[in-house]
Amino acid sequence: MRYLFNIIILLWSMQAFAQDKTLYIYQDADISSHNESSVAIQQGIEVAFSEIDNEVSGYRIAFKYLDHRGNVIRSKRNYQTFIKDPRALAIYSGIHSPPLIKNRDFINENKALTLVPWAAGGPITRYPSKENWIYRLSVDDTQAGAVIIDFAMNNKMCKKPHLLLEDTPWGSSNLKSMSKALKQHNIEKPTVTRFSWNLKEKGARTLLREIFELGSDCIVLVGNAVEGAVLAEEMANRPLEERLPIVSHWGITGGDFHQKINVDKRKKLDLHFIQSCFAFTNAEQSEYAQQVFKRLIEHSAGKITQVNDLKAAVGFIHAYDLTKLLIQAMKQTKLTGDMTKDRNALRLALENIQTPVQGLVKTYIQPFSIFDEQTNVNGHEALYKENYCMGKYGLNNEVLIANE
Amino acid sequence: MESKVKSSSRINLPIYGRIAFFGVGFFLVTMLLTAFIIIPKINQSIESQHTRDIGTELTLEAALFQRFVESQRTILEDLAKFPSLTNAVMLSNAGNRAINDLFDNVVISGNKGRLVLQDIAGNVLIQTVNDLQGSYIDNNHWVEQILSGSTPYHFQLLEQKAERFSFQISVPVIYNSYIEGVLSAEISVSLEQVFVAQTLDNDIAFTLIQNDITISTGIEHIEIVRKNSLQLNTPNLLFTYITDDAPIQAGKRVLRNTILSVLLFSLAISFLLFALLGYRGLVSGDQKAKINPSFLRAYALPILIGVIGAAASIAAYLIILNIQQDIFEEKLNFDSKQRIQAIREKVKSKLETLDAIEAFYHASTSVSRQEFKTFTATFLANHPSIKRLEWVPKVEDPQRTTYERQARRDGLDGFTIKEMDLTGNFVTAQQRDTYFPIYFTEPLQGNEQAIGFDLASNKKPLAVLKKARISGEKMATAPITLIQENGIQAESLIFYPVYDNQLFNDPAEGKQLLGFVLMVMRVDEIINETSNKGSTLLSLHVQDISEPNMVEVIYGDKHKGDGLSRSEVIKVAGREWKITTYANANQTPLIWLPWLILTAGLVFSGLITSGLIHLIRRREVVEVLVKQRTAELRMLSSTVANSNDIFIITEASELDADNSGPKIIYVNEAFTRLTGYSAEEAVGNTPRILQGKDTDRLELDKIRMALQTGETYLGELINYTKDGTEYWIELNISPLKDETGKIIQFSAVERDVTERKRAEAERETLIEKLIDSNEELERFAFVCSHDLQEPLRMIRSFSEKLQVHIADDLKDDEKGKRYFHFVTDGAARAQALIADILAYSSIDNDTQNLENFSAEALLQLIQNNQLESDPELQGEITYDKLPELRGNKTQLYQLFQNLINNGMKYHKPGTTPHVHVSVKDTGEHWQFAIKDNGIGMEERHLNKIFEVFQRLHRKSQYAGTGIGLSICKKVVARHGGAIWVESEKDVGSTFYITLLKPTLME
Repeated sequence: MRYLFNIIILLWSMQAFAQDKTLYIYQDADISSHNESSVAIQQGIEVAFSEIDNEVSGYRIAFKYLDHRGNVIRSKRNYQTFIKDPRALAIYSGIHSPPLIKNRDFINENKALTLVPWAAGGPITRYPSKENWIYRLSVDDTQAGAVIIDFAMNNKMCKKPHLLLEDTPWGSSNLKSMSKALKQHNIEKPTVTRFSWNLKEKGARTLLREIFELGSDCIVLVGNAVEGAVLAEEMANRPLEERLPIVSHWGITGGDFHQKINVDKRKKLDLHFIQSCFAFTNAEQSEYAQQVFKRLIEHSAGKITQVNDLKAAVGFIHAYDLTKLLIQAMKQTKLTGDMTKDRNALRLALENIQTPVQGLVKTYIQPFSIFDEQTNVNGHEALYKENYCMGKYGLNNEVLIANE
Repeated sequence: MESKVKSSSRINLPIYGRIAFFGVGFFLVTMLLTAFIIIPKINQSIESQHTRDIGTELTLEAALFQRFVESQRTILEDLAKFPSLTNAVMLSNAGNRAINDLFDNVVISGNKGRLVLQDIAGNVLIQTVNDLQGSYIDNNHWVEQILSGSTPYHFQLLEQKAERFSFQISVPVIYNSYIEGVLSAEISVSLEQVFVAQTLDNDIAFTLIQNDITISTGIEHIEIVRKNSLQLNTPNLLFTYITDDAPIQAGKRVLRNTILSVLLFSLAISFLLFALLGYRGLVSGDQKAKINPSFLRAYALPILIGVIGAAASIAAYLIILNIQQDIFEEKLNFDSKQRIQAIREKVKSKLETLDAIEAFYHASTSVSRQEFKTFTATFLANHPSIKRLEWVPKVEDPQRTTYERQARRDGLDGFTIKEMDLTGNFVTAQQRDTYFPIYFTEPLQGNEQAIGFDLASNKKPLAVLKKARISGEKMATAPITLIQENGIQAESLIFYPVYDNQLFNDPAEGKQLLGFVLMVMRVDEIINETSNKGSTLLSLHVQDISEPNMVEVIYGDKHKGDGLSRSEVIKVAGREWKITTYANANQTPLIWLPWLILTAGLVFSGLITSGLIHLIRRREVVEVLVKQRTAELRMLSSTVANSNDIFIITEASELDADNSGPKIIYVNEAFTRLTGYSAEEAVGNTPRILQGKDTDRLELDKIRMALQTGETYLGELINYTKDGTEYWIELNISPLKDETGKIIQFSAVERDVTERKRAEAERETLIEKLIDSNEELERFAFVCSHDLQEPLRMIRSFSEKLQVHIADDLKDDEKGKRYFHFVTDGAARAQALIADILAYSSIDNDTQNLENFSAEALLQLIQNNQLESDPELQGEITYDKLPELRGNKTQLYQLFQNLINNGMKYHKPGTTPHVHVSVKDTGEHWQFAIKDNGIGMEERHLNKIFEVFQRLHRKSQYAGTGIGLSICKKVVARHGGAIWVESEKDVGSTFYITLLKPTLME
């Protein structure tokens, strides 16, 4: 009896397997430490797919989200899971650049189709091969560095900006791009401080004091929400006359920065950060954007009712836009169910998006092209310098695009 | 105190004795309690307290150790919090300058940190040193545990090097409260740093055992090992706290011996005190105190002394036994240490052989086979336990043929470097980079097989070779043991690396290694070489304990039973031998001494006790005698004092001195009453004061004579009172003699007989008067009766004649006939009466006529006369065989006749009278019984019947004079006999008479 039952179960499951036409979209992100950004990205993906009822070419689309907590090794393991999954089509990254940079070779060698809606590290998309598996719709450090520096120099009137950078590959890529940008402002050798993850109050205090003592008049910060919050907190604690304006990369917006550095603390700070040039908080919203947000409200099942409820909105925006591109690519591809083939087909399709795709940031017209180290370094970048704006937190923890 | 004195005065013991008794008794009880309850209790509580203490100490030490580990963990955890470290693990980034700077500057326990940083995959990102001892990759469970958060940290012992040991401690690297990597440190600390040095010197040791790693502070200084282990969870290891039980054992011994000594001392003192008391009490004869004691009280003292003596003996026995045991144990321990030290030195001396050979190699550019043989020959000859000395060169593959050729040239035909195949046969060695063949072996003979064997082909020797090569020290293989008939034979192979000069920069690389000197030594022979050291008390058992899970016996048998044993661990070329010594079962300490003391003590106590008991017994007998005598004396003295007779005691000595008479030394009260002299007046005076004018001089002379001859005097004498009144005394003087028979005193008993004398005089007068009147009366009666007979006869005969004469007239005159009858009858009776009176009165006179005759004949005569006199009489007279009698025949005839007649006469109407006479010999007398079947008598009459004229019946009923039985009585009396009667009314009477036998009749 038991035997028979087992056989039935086996047969049923085999049948189910045969009929199972589900494809999985993965996310490998820091769901723990930078949860807001990860969740925002997930919402972006899901809202975009919900527009096509989670179905493409007869395949149902489902989602698997893996947490690397910022650890490069764990991220690699997650990728291994993805690679082995015979139904995993593409994988989105999260906020952190290091896992992507560190594992870039691994990702490309294993042909893991990676979509990057947030991580800004320059090298991520610049795998030196025509067969490049990583696509980004986000701020790109190589381009953003100049935007941040320009904002600091032009808008904040910095005379002696200090580069305060993570001691990570991401920080390093920014050091490179920012130093280059500063040369445009006649600063040959900016003062630089690198800090590690897990930076604590005491370390931060020391750093800031040293920077102040160096005579710097503003800080260009490249870091994430965890350490960013520590630094912002310490800056807010300093005497008014010793507080320096902070012009930051957007890493700080990825986590619970806005909660740790609440509106009261923010009032003590002059803090700006780079964003893509779209925000639901902008007074004027296109019909399309309103539609999308409406969809988001529906999708969030009550968690989001107004614009302010969407934290790390940029994650949503970029993920949504990126997913729209992915859907278009899927539509252009004849999916076979064989992931090796399908991932490659999709990769090629992404480089050949034939129709303009309406997104939140902009309408994308062939956003990606075949990467070339020499001639097309931005081939896998969907956004350009023109799409970057500076933003700041509003009273309700929302991100406001600065119009200054 | 007051009350004690009072109460003690009531009991018949002197106060000091009482106090001593209580004191010693109390002491004794205390000591007995001590010996049998308190000492074991104390020992037990010392033991349990000690166990508890050790338990506490163990917990404490373990906690201290844990705290130490915790402190190391904290150091490491603090280090793990460094952001650069977080960065490194998060980004899997080893090349960071900050982290390198950090690690370069870390100092743990005074040393540059030996650190390892691993990412979440377990990969080593950074290691600050290359020669890590711990294992960090390859399926390390602990890494997974740390990464999964199931253990807060990991602790692993690594190794011990002399006084230092190292361990690995690993902690997680945490970022944003998630575990992102593992940081480990290998920390080397001195044992003293962890275990307080002070305690290590003080009979304490520690071992830490984790997996197969053992860290030990060394237990060489510990005599009696007591291990107390605690399995710790964090860190996961067995923490053993080793204490030396020797001091506690010694302490227990001292305590026990002290208590026993005190006990012995007090018992001995008590014993002597009691013995002394007992003897003094018995010898001094304080009778007042000792009269009639109860058994228990009488024998309590000797019993007490016996018990104390026995207890003292036992205590002495125990003390001596303990002391001997201690001495024996000490000797064993000493011997054991000496023996093990000897073994240690022997092994050392064997190992020095290797040094010598190594030096030989250093001194020579090359050593040939012959040189090796010559050089080693001495060692082999001097050390029989060294079985082989071998040279194992390091042969690189290109050199192989050179070596093989050289060996063949040396005379070893067909020499190849060989190895053992799976079937155990030697085959030519497969090609490998390096070979370690046995190249030289001495002695060669018997070891040809081994020549050429490549040690690198076998895993086990290769491992030892590697160890030796790395450490540059002598390293032994696990002993190879063979079980032989005469026990276990174990061989130890010891390798010693030889480098081409003494300075080797990198032993692990082994660039300058020439080869190994190999020594094969026999464990059993080494140990046997030391057998002359120490006594024969010990047997040995040796184990190789280098590998905890493969302990191997290499010498001796495991001792059975739980005798005294002692263990030490010695290090032999990188291996550890545990040598255990046991006391041989047949070697036990001399035990005769304590037994001798016990026996002697018991015998001595027994003698003292029995001596005392004997004394008490004897004393008891004496006391009983004294008691009797005293009672007698008291009785006598009170008799004397209170007697109505006069007692006078005089001295005897003065008798001859002058004529003043003996001196009175005692008189009783009766003396004073009678004589009127007071005792004071009498004592010192002479009895002559009592004599006077009428005192019979003749009697006095008799007295003097008696006194002088020492005889008893008895007589009567007239004395005078103080006022001159005369009185008679009956005087009895007897001499009192001492033990030698010499007369020392005279005692005189005097009785006042004045009254008796007067009565006697009166009686005599009366008797004389009576005799006179009696004689007169008898004469009168005789005369009267004799003279009356004639007129009576006349009356009777003439009345009869008259009756005949007037017969016709009286024919019809009945009245006349009756009157005549009265007359004749009266006359007849008067005649009979007179005859009887005559008879009665003549008895006294007739008694002198004595004659011998047969009683039977007498009876026959009576029978015949009876029949004759009255033929009509129905009746029967019978008699037994009767004896001869002597006496007045007439009187005796009358006696028997009267008695028989009585029996016939007083018969019951209608029955035939029957009288039977029997006789019985009662010695001096014949006792006759005259028994009838007549009417009998009431008891109240029995006394009357023998009196004159006493009749129980009217004359009309039974005829008689009333004199018959009186006559009988008188006759019997005249014949020295007696008469009495036993009778029962209506049954019959028996008259008894006794008559002197003829021989006694005068």
